[in-house]
Amino acid sequence: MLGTSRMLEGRTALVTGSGRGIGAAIARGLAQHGADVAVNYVRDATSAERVVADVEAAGGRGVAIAADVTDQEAARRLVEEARDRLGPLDIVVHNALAGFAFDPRNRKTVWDLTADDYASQVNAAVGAAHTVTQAALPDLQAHGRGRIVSVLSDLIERPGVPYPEYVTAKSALLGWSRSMAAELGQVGVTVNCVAPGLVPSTGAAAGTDDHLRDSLEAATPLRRLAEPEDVAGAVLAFASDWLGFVTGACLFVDGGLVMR
Amino acid sequence: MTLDVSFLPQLTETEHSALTWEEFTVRDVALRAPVATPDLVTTLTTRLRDAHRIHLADRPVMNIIDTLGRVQTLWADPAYPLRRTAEDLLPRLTGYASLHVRRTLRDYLATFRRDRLLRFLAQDFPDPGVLDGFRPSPAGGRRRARGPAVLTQIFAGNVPGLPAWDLVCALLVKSATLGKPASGEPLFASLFARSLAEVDAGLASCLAVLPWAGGDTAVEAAAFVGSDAVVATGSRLALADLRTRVPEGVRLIEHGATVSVAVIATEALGTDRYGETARRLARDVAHYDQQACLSPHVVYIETTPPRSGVSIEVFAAAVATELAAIERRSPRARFTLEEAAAWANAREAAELATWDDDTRSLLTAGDGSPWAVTVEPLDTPFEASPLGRFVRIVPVTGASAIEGCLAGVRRFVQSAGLACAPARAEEFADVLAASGVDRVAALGRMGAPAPGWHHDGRGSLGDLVTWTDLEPSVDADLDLYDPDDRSGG
Amino acid sequence: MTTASTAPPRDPAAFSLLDADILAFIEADDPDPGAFDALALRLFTHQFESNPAYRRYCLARKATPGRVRHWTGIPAVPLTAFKQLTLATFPPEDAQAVFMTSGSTDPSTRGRNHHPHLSLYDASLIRSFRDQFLPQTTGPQPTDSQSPVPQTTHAAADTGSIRLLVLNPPRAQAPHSSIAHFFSTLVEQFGTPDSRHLVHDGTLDVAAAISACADAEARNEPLAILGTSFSFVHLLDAMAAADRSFRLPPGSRVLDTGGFKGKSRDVSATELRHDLSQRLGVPAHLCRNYYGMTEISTQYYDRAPLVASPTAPTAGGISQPGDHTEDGALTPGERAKVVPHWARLVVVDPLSRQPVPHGEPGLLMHMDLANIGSCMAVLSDDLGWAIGPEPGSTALGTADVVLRGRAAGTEARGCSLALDEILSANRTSTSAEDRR
Repeated sequence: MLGTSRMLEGRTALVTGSGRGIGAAIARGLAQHGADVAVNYVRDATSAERVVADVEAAGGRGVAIAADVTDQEAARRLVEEARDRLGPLDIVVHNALAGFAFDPRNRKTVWDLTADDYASQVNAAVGAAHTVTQAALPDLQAHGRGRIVSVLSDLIERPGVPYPEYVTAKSALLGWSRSMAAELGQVGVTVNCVAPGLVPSTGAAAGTDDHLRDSLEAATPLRRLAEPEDVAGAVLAFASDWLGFVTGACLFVDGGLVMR
Repeated sequence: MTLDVSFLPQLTETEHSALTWEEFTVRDVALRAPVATPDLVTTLTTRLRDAHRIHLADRPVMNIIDTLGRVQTLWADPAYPLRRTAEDLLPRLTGYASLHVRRTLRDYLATFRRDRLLRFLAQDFPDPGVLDGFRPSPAGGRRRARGPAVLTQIFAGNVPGLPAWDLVCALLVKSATLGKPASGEPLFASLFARSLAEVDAGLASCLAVLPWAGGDTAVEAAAFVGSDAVVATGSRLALADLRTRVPEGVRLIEHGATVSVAVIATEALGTDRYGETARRLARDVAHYDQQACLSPHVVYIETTPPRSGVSIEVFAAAVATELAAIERRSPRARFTLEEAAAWANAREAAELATWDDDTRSLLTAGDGSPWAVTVEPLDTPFEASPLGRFVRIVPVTGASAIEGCLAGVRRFVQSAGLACAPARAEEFADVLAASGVDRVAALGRMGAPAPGWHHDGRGSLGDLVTWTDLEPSVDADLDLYDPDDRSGG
Repeated sequence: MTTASTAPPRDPAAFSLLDADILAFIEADDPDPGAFDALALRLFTHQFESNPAYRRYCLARKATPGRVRHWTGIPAVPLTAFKQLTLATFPPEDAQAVFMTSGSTDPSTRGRNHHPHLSLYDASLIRSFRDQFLPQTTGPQPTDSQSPVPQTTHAAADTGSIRLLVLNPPRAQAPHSSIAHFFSTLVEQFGTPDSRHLVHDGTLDVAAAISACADAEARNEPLAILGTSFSFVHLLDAMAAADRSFRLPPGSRVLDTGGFKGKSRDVSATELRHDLSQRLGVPAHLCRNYYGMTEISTQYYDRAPLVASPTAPTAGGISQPGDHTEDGALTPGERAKVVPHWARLVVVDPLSRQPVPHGEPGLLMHMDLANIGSCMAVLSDDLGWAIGPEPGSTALGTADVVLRGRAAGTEARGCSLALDEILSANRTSTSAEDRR
């Protein structure tokens, strides 16, 4: 679906949370266009190794590295190991999701949430992105190919189902990304965001019921829900030279549900 | 149509048409010039001496300024045909980006404006009248200054257009010039002479431009014998060779190769300032790809506590990013094979040196990178850049450490670009002066020396003239011989 | 001729299957041209995996065994890497030999090439010596031939040996000199018992050289004299001073190497050959030169006799503001170097590292299967260009190459100081600023 090319040949990518789901599609897509990819996962080594096999089959080099990026030490080790095994990084994709399940019927509401719930979500999302980015910066900066892409959610614009702590964290990541875009432009790194709509095939969306899917599809101009490859395509564009002069942008990948 | 890069108005039409011409190409530009022979050069120096006597020796200096000011007015017009020729051909001859050549040439030509020439003159001659006749001397008595009647000038080729300034200097002190343009930029000297001819043919007849192969001993012997002084710009090796061949009694004024540096105080790395500082540094580094002696090889960055602002690594990345941006609009000139090999070698050596030394780093865009920024250990002694947008960043423990860093090049160091708070400028300037630096400019302005700059630390014009002093005793004691005898009181 | 008799003894522990396959390729009578790429990729994988410094260099260039699919993608290390790093695929203390550069350009640091064993080094030097130097060339060869084996008869075909005079100290006196090892190995492999080294304690024994020549002349037995280019200049000077000259018997020959970098005198290869012919009576086509470097394990002999000049020089992708009109062609009497089948010599752009078209000058990049102990791919600082028709991609790097000087120590264009001018104020050079 995403085709193949040599567009990213000679580049090395690290995709957090790419053992499965959207992250795995991003890792495969990067490899199909020539990149070497470090596949980060937390628990499911078998799945991550399958992604690595796909990366290698596409002609890239892949390594699976276990690390919980919300743990600062682990995040730094992740970057170091990726660099050591694949060479200096050019592309970092912040995709890891800190243990959050989308379940419209069992979500926490404002009446249940505590301040700590927000803190842990924001810390997880922004903290992981910050730590991984900081560790990778010596590689990313100055050569003009440094790319950072954060995967958000279109819920930040259209919280059809309110998940306050999750949306707050993803919104924080948007603010963080824009600040990074301003800061890191001076050292030649672009920082952009991709905000997908509901991707029903992922594990995190397992709790989403048919009724919600149908109503979202009906409301979407392109008449379907997102697939992991849709998200990967947008990430590829930001990782490539095609969008090399774009930074601080947020691209909504939800079939037109959010238009901005 | 091949362009004639000679300018020989001293020859009659018959003589001119009897010359043997030779065609040659520089990069892709076809040029031609007469073949230089000792006889031709001897004829030229003789005629220049005549032209000097007729058109220059007794011309008031203010008239020369006015004439040159009118020449500048021609060049100030973007549509002036010779300027168009220069803007078209100089990038092709030198390989420098068109945009860069057009902008620097524009700024450069503005330095010949009449008011700037006056300031330039005043720098060395507070009373320019000394060039016309005897004027009162501050020490008593009277004095006047004379330039050599005929100069041989061997021009530099590294900066397009530079010879025009050498020609102007000579004319201001009333010297006729036989100029040898450089092989790399053989064009502008003749263009400038032609523009002068449009304004004042008499004055232009005091200029001759003729290329010859550098080091051609027979031709140069004829030129030197026919001259009162020789002004030469070139490598120290070329100058050492020249020194052995300029005859006794003919003055040799040398402008040898020099190096420049930049100095950045800790306050220029503030989080709200470092981007602009990086931008200015990159501009100086990209100025004619560091081939002019005005661009920094090394940047010294103060690390005196309390430090604030970004780290040197981040600053280096910002400089690299600015150089990458400059590359997009003004690509680096193509190297010769040897230059490319030397550059690549320096870059690789810098890369390998980073491996066992955490205090070092190298920022480039891969093997084919058109720029390189290194970060080197604290207080590293001066190491030259291979030029071509390759700059070394050296942290220093404090301003005073700079003198130690520059110890090895004390005799070669020329300009320093400075970025610091105004109150600290003299503190740095003192250290730089003690280190041998003869010009301190604001960072970002290193490529555009102010009028009146003491080139290589000496008077540009003052260096050319010799003085005749009428001592006070002449006025005081010679009353004795006054026919209107007042000696008896 | 079998090779078993000349192959040196091997330490089985240090000798891998890959070594064996490369050795067989070097020694093959009829090598399969396609085998080079496969061996190169295997050697690259080995060197990537077992040479940490090289691995890091490759990783920075994103060149890894999985990624590199053709030998042209193997990263070549610059000479400075042999000075700044320890490039070894094995514990350096286990080296059978460490060859070092003479340090003529920068005495403070010397390049070091580590060899776990010398089996491949010796096989390479023996094969080239036998193919290129020993044969008695019978006349001009067709210039379009890329064959490393000229149509020849061997001078010493009957015995496989010839009397060798070496104007260089023996190996024992210069254990870190690749040239000393080279000459000593030849004496051991090809020399008759009366072969001799004529340099001891840095002094050339001129009297012994002259008497050996006289003896060869008297006995009418061919003599091969080997040495550095500069040692021949010394010898010729001494013979001139003594007013001695010889007509060495048919089959006699001369081999020199090294050129004159950093020496007080500069003599062109053509001049040297002329003087050798005059003084020793060895015809020019038997006066040979080879090009080698400490950092590699293969020598490139000049193609003899003369190769016809190619067509007019092509305009370079790299500008030539100086007087380089002779680039791209052979000057009269100049000889190109032959590339043996286990090596590739590619002329590349110094910045992009990409091959330049034949006839255009560039840096010489070596791919040498015999250089097992460090890196098979080495970027030299020698300038030159390939001659002959443009090859197909499979033949890249096999064309003859003309050497023309070194890139180091050139002056920058402007009034800004060149690197070398600060480093050494007393470099000898002519007025370089302004030549048209």
